[in-house]
Formats: sequence, C-alpha cells, structure tokens
Amino acid sequence: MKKIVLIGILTVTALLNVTAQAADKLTGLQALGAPLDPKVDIRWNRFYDSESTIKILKKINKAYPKLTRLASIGQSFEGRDIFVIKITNYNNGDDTTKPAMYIDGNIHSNEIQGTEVSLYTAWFLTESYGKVKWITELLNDKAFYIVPTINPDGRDWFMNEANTAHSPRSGMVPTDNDLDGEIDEDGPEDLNNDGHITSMRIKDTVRGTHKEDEKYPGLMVRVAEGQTGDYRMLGAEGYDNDGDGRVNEDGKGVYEYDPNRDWANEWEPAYIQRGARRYPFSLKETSAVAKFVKAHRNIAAAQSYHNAGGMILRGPGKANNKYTRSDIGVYDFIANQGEQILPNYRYLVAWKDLYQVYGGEFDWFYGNNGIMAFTNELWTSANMFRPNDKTRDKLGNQNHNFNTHLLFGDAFVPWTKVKHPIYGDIEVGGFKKNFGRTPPSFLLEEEAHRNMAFTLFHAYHMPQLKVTRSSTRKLSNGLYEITANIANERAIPTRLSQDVNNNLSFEDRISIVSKDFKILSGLTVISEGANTHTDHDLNPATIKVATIAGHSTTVVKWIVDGKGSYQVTVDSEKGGKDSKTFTF
Amino acid sequence: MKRLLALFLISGSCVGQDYLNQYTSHAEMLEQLKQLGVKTQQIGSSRSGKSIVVAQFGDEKSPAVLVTGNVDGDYLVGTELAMRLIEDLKSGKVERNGKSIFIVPMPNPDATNFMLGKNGYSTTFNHLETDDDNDLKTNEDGPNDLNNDGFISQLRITDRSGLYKPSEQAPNLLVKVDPLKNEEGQYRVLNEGKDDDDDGQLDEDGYGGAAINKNFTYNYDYFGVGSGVNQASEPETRALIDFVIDHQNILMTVNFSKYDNLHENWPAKKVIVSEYKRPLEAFDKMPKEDVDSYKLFSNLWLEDHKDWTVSAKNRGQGTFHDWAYFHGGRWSIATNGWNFKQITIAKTSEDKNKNDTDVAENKDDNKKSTDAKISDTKESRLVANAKSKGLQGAVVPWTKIAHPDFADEQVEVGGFRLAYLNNPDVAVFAQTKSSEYVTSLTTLFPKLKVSQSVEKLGNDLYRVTLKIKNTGKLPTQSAMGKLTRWMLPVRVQWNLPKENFIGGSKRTLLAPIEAHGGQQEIKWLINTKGHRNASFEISSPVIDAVKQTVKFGA
Repeated sequence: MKKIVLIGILTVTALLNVTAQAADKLTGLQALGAPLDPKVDIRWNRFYDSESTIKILKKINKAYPKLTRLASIGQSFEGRDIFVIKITNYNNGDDTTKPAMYIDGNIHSNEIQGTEVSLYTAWFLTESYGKVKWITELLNDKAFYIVPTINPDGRDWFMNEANTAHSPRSGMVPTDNDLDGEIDEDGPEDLNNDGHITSMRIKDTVRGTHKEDEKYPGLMVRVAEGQTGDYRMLGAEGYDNDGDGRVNEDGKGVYEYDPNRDWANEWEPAYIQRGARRYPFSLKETSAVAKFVKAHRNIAAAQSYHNAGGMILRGPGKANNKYTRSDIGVYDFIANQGEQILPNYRYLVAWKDLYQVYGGEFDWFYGNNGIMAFTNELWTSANMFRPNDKTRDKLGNQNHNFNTHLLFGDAFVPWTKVKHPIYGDIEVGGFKKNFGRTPPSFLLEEEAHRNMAFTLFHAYHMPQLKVTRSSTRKLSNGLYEITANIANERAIPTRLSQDVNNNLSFEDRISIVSKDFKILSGLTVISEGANTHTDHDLNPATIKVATIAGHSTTVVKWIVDGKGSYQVTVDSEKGGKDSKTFTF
Repeated sequence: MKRLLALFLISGSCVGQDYLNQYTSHAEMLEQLKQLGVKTQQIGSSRSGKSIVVAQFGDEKSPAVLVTGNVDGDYLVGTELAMRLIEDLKSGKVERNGKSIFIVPMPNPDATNFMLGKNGYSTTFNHLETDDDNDLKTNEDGPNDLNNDGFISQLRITDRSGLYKPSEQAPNLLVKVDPLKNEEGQYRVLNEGKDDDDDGQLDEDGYGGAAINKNFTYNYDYFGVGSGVNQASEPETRALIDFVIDHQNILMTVNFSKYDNLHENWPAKKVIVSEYKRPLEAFDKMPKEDVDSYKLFSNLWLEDHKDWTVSAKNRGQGTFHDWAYFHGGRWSIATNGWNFKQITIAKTSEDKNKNDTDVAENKDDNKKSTDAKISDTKESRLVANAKSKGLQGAVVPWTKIAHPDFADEQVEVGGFRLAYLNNPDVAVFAQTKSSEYVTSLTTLFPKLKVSQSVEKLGNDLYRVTLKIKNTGKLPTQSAMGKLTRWMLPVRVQWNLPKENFIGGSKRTLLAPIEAHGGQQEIKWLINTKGHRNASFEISSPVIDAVKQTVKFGA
C-alpha cells in the first residue's frame, strides 16, 4: 500500500512539474538567427570545459539521433576522449557517401572559443534542420565532422589553472624547455591565488621605471628617459624554482611545443620551426585527427578555429611556396565572401601577411590531402568599439575603456600586495586570462554565429555532382553515340589542382552500365565544336577524369552497339556520387 | 654462424644454391643474437609485425655510438657488417673503451624478408599494401619471373635506339653507350616483368610499402615513389627516431648503407652557425664548425680503406644518416662497408697487358681510353666474380623468351639479379675493417678535465673558479647538435641550496667546449654559511661525468 501511495505522490509531483513548466514557458517572437524553441537549450555566452563539451555533444546526439553520430577519434595525452560529432541527414545516405566538411577548434590550449563556435555550429545545424530550407538541403547533400576541441587537456589546464591569456599554447606533454635535464620544474606561481597569472611590480622610487597612468588607473606606463618612476616591473607572477637564474622558463604548458607545428606538410624541426617536436604527428591529438581524415576520403573542406586577431588565414605557411593559380581562385571566392560575413576580419596568406609556419594544419589539409582549408583567428579588438569616422580618433586606450565602460572593471585584477620569496613585499595585478583573446559574453554568440555562417558558405560550395542530361545519336547501322553531361553545381572542384598534380585522391569516374548493349568506346569531350576527344581505350565503360571544375559541366560520350536503357553514374571521392537512368 | 658457414660453402662448390642465401634473414638474426647471448631490446615493429631489435653493449645511459645495419632494405651487406660487429664485440676482438655501443642490425626487416623470400626481388619497402599508380588496386603489377629460374633479373630488348650494348670484355655485361659521342646501342633494358594489370605500364605497382630510408624527415621527397604517406609515417622510421631522441647519450651513428659520407664529406657552409641569421631555412650544408670532426672520421676510415673507389652519394632524400645529423643532431657516418675493388680477379695475360697500359695511361687522364674504364667497373668485376666463384643467381645468362607486351620484338631475360649489384657474396667484404673502425670512434669522445681554485673573500664568502678543459678529440657539442637541441650542453650542478649563490647559479649550462684542449673558466660567488664544503657535478649525456668536492675554510 505504502508503495502505491508513494508512486501516486510521485506521479502527482511529476504532473505538477510539467504543468508548472508549461505555465513557466516563455512565449514571444523569434529573433531571426537562432531557433525560438530549441530542443537542446544551451547558453552561448560562456565557455565550457572539456567534460561539458562532451555533455553538450551527447545532448545534441540524443535529441537528434537521425541527424548525428557521436564517436571518439582517439584520446589525448592525458587520456581524455576527443569527440567528433558527425552531422548529416542519415535517412538519405551515410555521411561517407557525401562531400564532408571537417571542423575543429582549440588546437592551442588558450584559444578556447573555437570550441564554442564548433558546438554552436553542431547545435544550429541540428536545430535548424527541417525549419530552414537552406540548412535542410545542406544536410541532405553534405556531411559535417565537427571536433569541438582537439586539445582537451590544454583546454582544461587553461580554465582550471592559473594562466595568462597567452598560456598555455602547448598541450600537456612534459617537455624540458631549458635543456637542463629536468622537466617542468620551473613554472609560474599564482601568488595571489586568483586563477590568473598577472604581472608583478615592486615599489621603487629610486630605480623605478614605471608609474600608473593618470588617465587609466592600474595601467603601468614607462616613465620618460631620465625620470624616475614609482615602480619596477618584475615580469609575470612567479619565481626561480630550480636555481638557474631564470624565472618561469620550464613549467607545465609553458610554451615548449606547438601542436600546430606537428603536421606533415613542409614540416621542419625546432631549430627551423620553433614549437616542432621530433617528427610530424608526434602528438596523440594531431595523429588522431590525421587518422580520422585519412579514413574519411570524402572530406572536401576543412576549417580550424584559433584566436585572435580577426583573420581568415590560408596557407602556404612556408615563404615563397605557391598554391596553384586555379586553387587560389577558389580560395579567394570563399574568403572574399567571408570578409563580408565577418566584419573586421581580414583574409590573409599566412607566410606573406602574418608569419612563416612550417608544419601547420591547413597546409597539411591542402598539401597532403588536396582539401581546401582555412584557419580563422577569432576575436579582434576592433570589435570592442567598432569605430566609425566620428569615433575613430577618440578611442583612447581601448582595453581600459572597454573594461571600464562595458565590463565595469571586471576584466582587471586590481594591484594587491603579496609576499614574494625573493623580492619580499610586491604587488600583483593586471588583465585576467579571459580578456584580450576571447570575446566577452555578449559578443561570443555573435562570433559563433558569424564564423559558422562563413564556414557553412564554404561547406555549401563543396562539389555538388549531378548527372544532368544525356542524349543519343545514330551513327550507322546498329551503332549509337550516347552523350552524358555531368555538372558540378558549386564552386569547389572535385579535385583541386594540388590533388590532381600529386595524385592525392582517385580520379573521378563516370561510368555507364547497360544490359541492352555493349560499350565499344568511351570518350571525354575536349571541345564539342572542334570535335576533339580523349579516347579511353583501356576500360571504356568507366571514364576517368582528372577533375570536374567548379561551376562547370563535363561531357562524355560512349559509342555503343544497340539501343535500350542505361545508367550513368559519376563517382568522386570528394564530390560524392550521382546516378541517373535513361532509355532510348 | 650462418655467415661463416656460407663462406665455407662458397669456397667449395655450391651449385644449385642461391648465393643470396648467405645473407641473414630476420629469424636467423634473432636466433644468432640469442645464441651469442647478447643483451637486446625490441625498439619497435615493422609494418608486418617483425621485431626491430637493438643489441646493447655497455650501460644504457653511458656515452654511446649507435650502429645501424640495412636501413635501405635492399642493402643486405649492412646487416652482415652489423652482425659481424656484434660477434667481434662479444668475442673481444674489438674494444669499446668504456663507451656503450647500440647496434640495430636489421631496421627494415620486411624488405629483407621479402628479398630473401620465395620469388623475392630487390626492394626497399616495408610491408604495406599501396596503390602506387592510383588505380584503386594495390600491389597488382610487380616484376615477374618470366623464365621461371627463381630470380628476378633483367630484360633486354633488341633495339638500336636503346642505350645499352654488350661489353667487349664480357659479352654478358651490358654497358651504357654515350649518345653524345654518336655511339649506337643495341638494347633497351628493363627489369624482368610484364604489364599485369593492362594499364600500359610495366611493374609500376609491385610489392608495396614505404622505403624506410626515404621516410625520415630531413630533405624529404614529397609524393616520391616509396617516400611513404608523409615524413616519418612508418613504424620503422619512428622506432629509430624515438630511439635516438630518447637516448641523448648517443653521440654518433654509423650506418652501413648505400650512402657514403666518408670518402666525400657533406658540403659545408661558409659561415659559422652562430652568425647565421633567422628565420632559418632547412640546412643543405653542414655548419662550418663541424667540418674538422668529419675530416677526422674520414681519415680514420681511409687509413684502412685507401684503395676504394667510391661513387656512392653522401646524401639522399629522407635518409636516416642525413637525418641523424641534420635533424637528430648527432655525428653521423655512412659507409658502404664494401667496395668492388675488394674483388680480386684472376688476370689473363692479355688483361694484364691491358692493365699495365692503364697504369701508364692513368698518369695522363686525357689519354684514358673508354675501353680501359669499362674493363674496371663495379659491374665488370661483379661479373667476373660471379663467374670465377660459380655464384648461383648473381648474373644470369641471357635467354630468349616470348614476351606478351613486346610480341613483335626480340626479348631476352638475364643479366644482373638486381640484388647482386648491392650485395656480393660475403667473401668479398671479409677484409673490411668495419668493426675496428666503429670501435676506434669510441676513442674520440669529448672528455673533461676540471681544475678548481677557491678564494676566501671574507667570513663565509668564497669565490670558486673552475677551469674546464676538453681533452677529447670531439667538441662537447657539435654545432648541429646545439642547433637542433638534441645534443645537450654540459651542465654544472652544485649540491648547495640555491640561496647560497650570490654570483652565478646553482645550475649552469655551458657553451660548447672545443676539442683538443678547448677550455672554459667559470666563477661563482658563494655565501658558504653553514657549509664546510660543497660538491659539484659536470656532465652531459655524451660525456662521462666529473664530480669534485670544494673545501671552504682554511
């Protein structure tokens, strides 16, 4: 009896809860962009640690089982799973049968918001499927492989431990930075225990080199030559742990290697490319990605999210390396649109406009796989005040003004007194680690949406193959000519010229199957007007073509010995597959 | 020992026995190491899962030399010489002067096993199904044994536009003509095979995989045949790299390989590395600072191998020996380990006359006749060697066959078994002083001599000065080792608390100290409060540590 009563009470409570929820439900009008009532409710104005990113992926996967698959592509150095969420309309075909876009974030530990952008993309695509026509068609035709963080160890270390906005860049593999035979023995110390590594200053009216700015209290400025300041600056919080006369030179995650110098294109060792390790794919994280990409030969586009600076970057990273003219044309087409989608972002070529990079991820995607890849440097300080003609000259110190007027001082740790084992009484203070490279809450969602929009534009232009039409012509007794048109309706070719020139993927195959007649020869049309062809004499039923260019149609012909029905199929590793049956 | 047994067999009669069986297979290598009772450890596995083992003499952490056998794969000689070194060290024939020696006799076991296996042929590849011709099929068109003699040799097709003709001395031997001298050939030459997959190409996708000695990171040949999918993509490659990087005590590597940088050293830069401006590009030359050490390595070798005529290249693309220096930061030596000049030919009186004339003519290079050159090439000596020793499967007589791809032409199978060009019968290199050479290198290691002076400046205040001298024949760090950061600097470490140091630090890393008596002086100002003495250790992984005590007081 007691049991039944209990169940009864539970049921009533549950009912009440539901009713309460219904009563609490907020109603109104959709602000265009995000769906009004998403199945998966997530705040997009904060950052998530690695465990939370996995929870979010699981929620999305649970809510949209027919649109998503969740898998681990491997484990990080410290044993965290690196998750990929695969998104497509699985009802009309597996992800591997469609051109796919690979997206990742957070390769550098401190460059965290790429993860939120990636998660937002997964969330937006699934929530919009069936609601927004463009997104629905995109998921019918294409697939997405989204890996929100390919560096979960570094992500958590950045969030949970004391750091600056710039540390750590590395992952967590122990490394002897200073070549003294000991590993990670001299890292920074969070002297005031606030979770941020800020600056140290000591009061010194004799040898002082700095004073506080009059207009921006807290901001330390150097005094003029010949004058004496109030303070000496002592560098980042910490002390010499190992007695070698240097401070903070070999801590965990202190810049020692760079996961974005660990990719196998134009890879060079550390004396040429700082941050490289012993060989490419020496890290568990990068090799997990490489293994995944190599196993998914349908990946036709790639995007990585970094920070900061407001850039749409492409390779080459190596000076004087050249991409082919035709490939650059496609890159430019995508990125020029990106500059409009992403205000204050500039489209740059890494080695020329930024700096040289050997062994970078985007060069591996393009160089070794023939996949068009961008790296976006998220967040630009230009988006703090978005100056116009009237305000441009009156910005002042933007960091301090933004902190004062929009963040109400919360971005800055005020100078506070602490005891230092060597210097004695000093003060620590400065900007927090989540200021400078990452947007504040109210700009984070915007950044996620705009970067996603750029990436979806890129994804939309992955090759889209259609067998569009076929015609026949009688040549002589019992001999017919079949002409078939194969269109690529989007901007990216099935195989970039980098791919064609180095045989990185299989050639596209256009084939004909018929039970009614024999295929005598197969021809690619070079010029219909001049009646010039390439004869495929070895296997005429399957014509191999090097590539099907963007926004173009390839014409092939077969000479056959009878009439009937036939099926024409185009099959391309990166361009997907399409078939059509004709009868004559 | 199989090698010794083979020698014995060769001297007698061995009709029917493939001469290549003299070479050590993977299973035989493991068995021999076991019988010898040598300390070994597995450092990796090949693509097909065969163990890559290193034999270890001396302590794991002591300053060391690493010796590799056949990284190339088709250079079986390398394994024999490495195994010989192991035997010689074990038997005490050679001494290692307190240094450790690591030996990897077979770093590319898949290639060796394929070559020595049934219907095998010369290969540099590990065991990986690859689609070399991008036709969605793997390993479908390799060489074929068209005349069923058990060997893959060559094809010659009668063709006046071909670039080969028979040698006048040895009609079995084909020599290249010089079209610029308007010489006419008689044959086209191909490897023994046919077009198995009807794509119009011969042998373009045979036994597949990656060539380990093309897979290292330095000067990598992107998308080259056998380069592998990317730099260091292969487990064999990584096993070697990891072993070297993880053993910072390895000062140098000696590699028995198709390459040779002893008879002609690598080219050197004109400026020293410290004056080199960043951003750096990949080095194609060695730093000037390191030139003399390589001269020393060469001179030591040439003492015993003066009369060799070496045409091997000193560098390749993606090779281990180039990597070991330019990326691995260790001294790196490559040597063939055998030379065709070691083949002695019984001379007919006619030949003798000819050779006497050669000697006379060689004095004036301009008069040197083409025939004289032909008479003393590697190939001609190999042909003579095969004939005089009756080697089975070395040089195959030409026989006519009907070839499906050249139905209208006259095709013959024969000529060299490709393996023979690199791997003669083992008797040929019996006189190579390879073990002696490797062990002589252990006498060159940097060695530190430290003298101290202590000066009392006041109560509890002392100045300690150390003079650190390198009495070895190599610097404490090579320029390349320092640059790559894989050869560690000499470190001075005190046992006093760091707070006691007023001038100088508890731990100091030294700049490289030159060989042959290079010296550095270093001073500390120490507050000795509470300490009557202190000790320091000066060490680097490639140098035996020096420990001393400093006494305060007096």
